[in-house]
Amino acid sequence: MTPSKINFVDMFAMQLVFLLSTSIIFGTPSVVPDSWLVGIIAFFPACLFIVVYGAMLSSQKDMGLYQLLEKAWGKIIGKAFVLVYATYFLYIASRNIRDMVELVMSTLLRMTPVPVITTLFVLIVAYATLGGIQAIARFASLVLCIVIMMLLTIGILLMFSSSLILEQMLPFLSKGIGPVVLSAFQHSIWFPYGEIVVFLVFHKEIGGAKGFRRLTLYAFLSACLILSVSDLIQIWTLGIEEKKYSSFALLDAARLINIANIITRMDAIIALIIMFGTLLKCAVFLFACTEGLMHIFKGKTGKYNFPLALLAGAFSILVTRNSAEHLTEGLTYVIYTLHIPLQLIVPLLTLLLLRIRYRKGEAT
Amino acid sequence: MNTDNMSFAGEEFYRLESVKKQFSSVFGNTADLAVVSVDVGHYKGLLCYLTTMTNTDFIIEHVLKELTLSEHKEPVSMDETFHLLETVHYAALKHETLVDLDKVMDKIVLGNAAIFIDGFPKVLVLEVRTLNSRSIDEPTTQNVVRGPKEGFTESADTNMSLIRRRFNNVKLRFEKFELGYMTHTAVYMTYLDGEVEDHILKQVREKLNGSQIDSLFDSARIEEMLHSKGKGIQLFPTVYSGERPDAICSCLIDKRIAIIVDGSPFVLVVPALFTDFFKSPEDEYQWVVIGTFSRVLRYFAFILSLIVPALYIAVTSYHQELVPTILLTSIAAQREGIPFPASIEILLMEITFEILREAGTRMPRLVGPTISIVGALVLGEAAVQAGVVSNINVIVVSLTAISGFVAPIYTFGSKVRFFRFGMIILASIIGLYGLVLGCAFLMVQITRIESFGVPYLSLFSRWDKRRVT
Repeated sequence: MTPSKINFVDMFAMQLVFLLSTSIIFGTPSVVPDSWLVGIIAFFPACLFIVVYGAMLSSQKDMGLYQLLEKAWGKIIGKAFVLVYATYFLYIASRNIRDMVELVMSTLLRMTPVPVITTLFVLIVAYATLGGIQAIARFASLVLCIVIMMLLTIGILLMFSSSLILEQMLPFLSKGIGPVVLSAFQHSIWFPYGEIVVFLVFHKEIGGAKGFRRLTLYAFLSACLILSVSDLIQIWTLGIEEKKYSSFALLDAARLINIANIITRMDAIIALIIMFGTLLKCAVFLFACTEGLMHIFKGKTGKYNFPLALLAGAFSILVTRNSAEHLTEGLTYVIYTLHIPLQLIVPLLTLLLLRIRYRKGEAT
Repeated sequence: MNTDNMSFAGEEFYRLESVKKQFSSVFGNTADLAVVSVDVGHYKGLLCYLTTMTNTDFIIEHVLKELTLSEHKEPVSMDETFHLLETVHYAALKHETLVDLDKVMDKIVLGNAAIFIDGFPKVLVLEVRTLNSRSIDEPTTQNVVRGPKEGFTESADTNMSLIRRRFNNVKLRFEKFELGYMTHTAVYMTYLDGEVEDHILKQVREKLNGSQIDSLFDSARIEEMLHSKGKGIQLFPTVYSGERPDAICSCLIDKRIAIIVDGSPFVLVVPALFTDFFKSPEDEYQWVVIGTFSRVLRYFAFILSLIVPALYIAVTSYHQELVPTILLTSIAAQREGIPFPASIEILLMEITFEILREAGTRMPRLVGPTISIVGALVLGEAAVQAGVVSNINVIVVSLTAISGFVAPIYTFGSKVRFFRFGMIILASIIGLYGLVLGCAFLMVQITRIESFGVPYLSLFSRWDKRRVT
């Protein structure tokens, strides 16, 4: 691919779909009453990521995550970190695939063997990554239209089937603001907001530090808004208690749509639409991963895409034994062992090292 | 040059006898070669042309009458005679002066007449090409109710004039290429100078110059060549072909390049985007709301024709719970007693329809009604009554069939049909999941294509002015 400036709106769409895709279906993963507040509160600490990552990008000219790591930590440790990040991206991609498979299995295909579902899916993911980041971004803008249309339709249809009961969101803050803030810090800022770290890889296409800050801020704002609205809809339809314990709350809400016994079972359609979002998210991660490998091992474009995609598919099956284990792993272990170090600590240290080793003005 | 010709001071004089001999040695005994002895002023001359590339009336009216220089009573020199012919008598005809006999012969093949003067080194070549061509008719593939009714014809000259008379603009360029090393077909690259981006022009020129084809009888041959060969397969057409001058002109305004091939009524446009295949020139001649409505309708029909049969199969064979109960019972009642599963049933009817369509386009026009009777009555009605297929199946197949023809560009519609079969197969194997994967694949495919560096489908590109490709 020749380096060319990417369409700003497409890139924004890519970030937004990236943020929405899995979190919209799994809700804000929190067992607190006012989960819609969690999304709003999480937005403010999440802006910290923009500050840190923006500072990283602006510290050196024209350098993405991988180049920065190498610059800050030296050749050997830097390369090790690049590998760690590539693996991390691949792992998140495989988790997302697993999420999607769980969703499809529970709503549509109960009998189809999992490997078939996964393999077909990852092949398309790999195919999507072959076109480069611009093609992925254009795909994202298509998906964004579909997702937003879906949300609007759900809202309107729920209203018409008189399932939206505003009183369901009461009692408001029954246990005080403490658990809400805690949940925001425990989960929401790492997933989905923290995962934006992957976009550091595409520094060129995103328009450097300035473009990154602007785009990401807009994307965070929109994502926060959309997620909160969707959370509110879920609470209004399901009620606080049911929303708390439902694994796919949005689907459960959509299941309540019933208009004249004709429009029913919207949940299946939503599950299918969510697949597009997951496809995009996996494609972004996979592309970032292949960029990492190409950075270390060199090689032709498109060499790693299919093997890595199949690897991600295999991981997604092997990584946990069942759905419950998958969820616990995602909500606790991954956050403390992977998200926090790789999304915050390593970038912070890298930034520090960059500042110490290369003072402003003597960038070499 | 032949030694029979007298050589003098580096220039060779043509002797009529030797010219005749050379013509018969190159052209052989072809019946349409006319080598006529004429008087050019006071000198002996020779007029050579192909009778198939012009008509006799034209030669008599415009060429022979002028040749005798009747108003000049006193003899003039050879040089002066030639000069008079060139500047006075044939000034209105497109002409040029050649020396090399091989080049003269090449020109004659293209429909020029050559005038030799005995003992003179130069040859006057006149363009006398007047070909009978179809008159300008209404286009057959892109019909409109409101709007110009002219369509392109097989003659490139007519086509160029159809474009030029809509564009009274000095910037309009027709750049000529010759393609096909056997046929030397004229190909014209048409664009608005200064509007089209240079890199696109350069790429098109390179592709046209670098072509290795032997013959070119229709623009479809170079459509394949211009089709951008990016990474991997490309299922969607990236070259627009139109039969309507107004459609092509509006593409030119949009900074595109049109390519006219002599002998083909279909003019190509590159780069073509996904949205172009859903535009009909008529949209712009109507009230904007109606135009937009019909355009949206076309997109909708495109999606319908892609997924409806696959959706039917997936829903009836895998996900019955998704269908509203009343509709499900109605479908089940109709399908009772049908021996085939839904996928076989759909495939059966789809293939039948394809055969009908193929027969409908290829057969002689006189037997047309037969096909429609057989198709509609025998295959539709009787198949349902005989219990081979269900009613709902016939509805699904006919709905898709009609939707498939909504696309204003025929080539696009015919590609969609292929995707439909893919979708049907996917849906028969893994149900809705397969259908969604198929859609995802097509979406990825659409967004990946770049036609001459321009993204094929970019929803928000109109808000991005600073894109560099």
